[in-house]
Amino acid sequence: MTHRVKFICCLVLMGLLWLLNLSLGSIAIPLVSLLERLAGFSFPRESWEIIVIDYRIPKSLTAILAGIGLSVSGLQMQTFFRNPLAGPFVLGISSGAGLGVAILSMAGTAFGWQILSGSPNYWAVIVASSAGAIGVLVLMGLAAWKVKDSMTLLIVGLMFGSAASSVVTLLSYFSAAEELKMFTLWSMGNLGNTGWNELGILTGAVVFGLSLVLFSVKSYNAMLLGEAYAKSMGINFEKLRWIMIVSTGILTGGITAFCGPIAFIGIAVPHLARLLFKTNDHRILFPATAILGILVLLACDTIAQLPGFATSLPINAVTTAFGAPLIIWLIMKRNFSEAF
Amino acid sequence: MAAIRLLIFVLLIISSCRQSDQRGSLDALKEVPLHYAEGFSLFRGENYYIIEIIQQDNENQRFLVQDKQESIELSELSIDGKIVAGSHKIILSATPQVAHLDYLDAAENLMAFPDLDLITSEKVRKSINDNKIIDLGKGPAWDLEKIIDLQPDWVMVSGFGETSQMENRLKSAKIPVLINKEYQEKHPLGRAEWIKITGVLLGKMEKAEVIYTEIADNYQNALERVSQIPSQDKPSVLSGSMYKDIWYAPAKDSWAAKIIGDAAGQYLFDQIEGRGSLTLNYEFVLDQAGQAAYWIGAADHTSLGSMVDQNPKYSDFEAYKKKKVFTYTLGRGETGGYRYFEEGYLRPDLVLLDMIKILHPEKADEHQFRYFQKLED
Repeated sequence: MTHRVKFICCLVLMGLLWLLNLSLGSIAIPLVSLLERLAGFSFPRESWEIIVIDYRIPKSLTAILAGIGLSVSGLQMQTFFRNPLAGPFVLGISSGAGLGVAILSMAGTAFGWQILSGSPNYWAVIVASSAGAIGVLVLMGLAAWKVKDSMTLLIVGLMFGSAASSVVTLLSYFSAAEELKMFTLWSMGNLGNTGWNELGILTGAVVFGLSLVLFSVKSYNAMLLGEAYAKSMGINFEKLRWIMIVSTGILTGGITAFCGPIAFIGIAVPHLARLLFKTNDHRILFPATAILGILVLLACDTIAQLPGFATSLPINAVTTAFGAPLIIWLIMKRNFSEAF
Repeated sequence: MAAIRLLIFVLLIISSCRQSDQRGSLDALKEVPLHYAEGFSLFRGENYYIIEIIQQDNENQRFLVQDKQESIELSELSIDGKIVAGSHKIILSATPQVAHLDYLDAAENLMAFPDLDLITSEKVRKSINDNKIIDLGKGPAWDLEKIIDLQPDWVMVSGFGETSQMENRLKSAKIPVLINKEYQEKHPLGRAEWIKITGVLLGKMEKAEVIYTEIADNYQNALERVSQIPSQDKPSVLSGSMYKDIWYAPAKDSWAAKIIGDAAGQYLFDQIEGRGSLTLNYEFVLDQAGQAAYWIGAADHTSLGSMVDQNPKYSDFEAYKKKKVFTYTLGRGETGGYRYFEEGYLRPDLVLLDMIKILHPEKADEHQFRYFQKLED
């Protein structure tokens, strides 16, 4: 199969999955009704209109954007650090966002500060999460300016993450049960909380992050052979590093702000793309990773809706259940050192 | 091998004998009849009470509460603590237990409590403001050294989660720990009946009986007001609140769902099995309850505006659009605690009257809202 055929298959599959995602859920809405609504007729039940238009469609679009953003960031990280275990969150973005949300929701009781009374405001959570992510990004920028070696940067990122987590642990320990539950739920990820307005912002962030990648595809190919080789090929290594930091920061920071830290997609999907498309050419790999990211996250979200049940599962439980066996299978199956 | 089997057999026989012995010696006592509570039993001896609190695995807790200081030997009964009834220095762990003290005029018995800000009772708040009550702090773990140092006469903890380690540590310091399981009671009047345990311990059993009987009578009277309402006139009721797209609502057998039903409301999630709390998907809730006439219990929101600030999806519900949203934020203590979470569990009669006033205002004309309020913009 040529790459073209594979891409077409993926696109068709994506369309089908998307329709399935819109139709399945606690309330089963027949495909026929969906298509009729598309043709201009109204739904037989009034509540379906709200469920589909204001809930399921924004949710599926969020899954699509998050699927693209996280897996593309994951691929950038894996190639840049030449490390198969790197993912979108290795620079501490999700820990920073988590710290922001933890301070917002839990510092109130832990330290007796009255930041907000009652449940946190909808936008406050998004702002706190973005502020945390941006904070870590700025710190990483300073570190990147000082440290020239990419492996050192990776370690610094992990350390920032651990430091942020320790503050979160401390806050959790002293917080009230209700707030702790809210924070725990946030950390499980959620695709169904974005309305149409938020979707506009998220789309902007993802498009901006991806456009940075477009300009550096060739540089990523050269990076596979190492920093020294890339430099000898005339790649502006410094520039690539900044593009990588800003692009993944905006992609993952934006997605984490609206959906919480979505686990595993960023690590697992690039491997899946390499396996299915059997190439290391980033001109193929970037689009392949993006489309597989969509497929995987849409599928996970469809499972998480638990069709037919009154409840649903947290998205992270599903992505991890899917991601972990995939990673294990990949490790058993292929020799990683070949690809890196 | 045969020897081991024989040993196990003998051990089993011995342990079963012990169990039945204990039951036997309790049966010899006069059991104090309880009306609704299932989580504890009271037995009256010549000049003492035995409180038995049902725990898991037949490891029931038993406390000997003597009328006065004297030596009572109950050779066959294993006892988790001996307490002489009367005025005490005590430590409680949850606000519903504080309401018992308020009603029994025993606020001065409370020596320490975790997170004093939650307490709303005026009598207890006065002691707090006079610095007579120690704040044990908000951390999740009890500071056992501090409790041992305070030397309370007894400690009452809620039976959520792991309590056995704390119980053992305090037992070795000779401090009785009563594990309160009132939240497991199925009937609202069963939960209120736990005031009798506090009554026995503080030597105010008669007063507790009087208070409880009044509450139970009041509940029955309120029930009768709405007993004639035919089922087609029972308005549909939605309850709970949402975090992101997950809805948390009281389950069918929960305290709140039971009272909604008793107030002649039709609780919409009562087809789903479960006790305590339900976790439902937003689209399921919207489909089932989007048209509900009333929304009772919308977390701790104080206005309709603050609800949509937290989650814009709330505005999809008919009850929200028609401003029929009620929640328990009416009575608040001076430091922010809710009266509902303290006194409400002891006064299901007043909660029921509040709900009747919401659902059938003509049946509770003279009643003033005590816990619930209507949310406005």
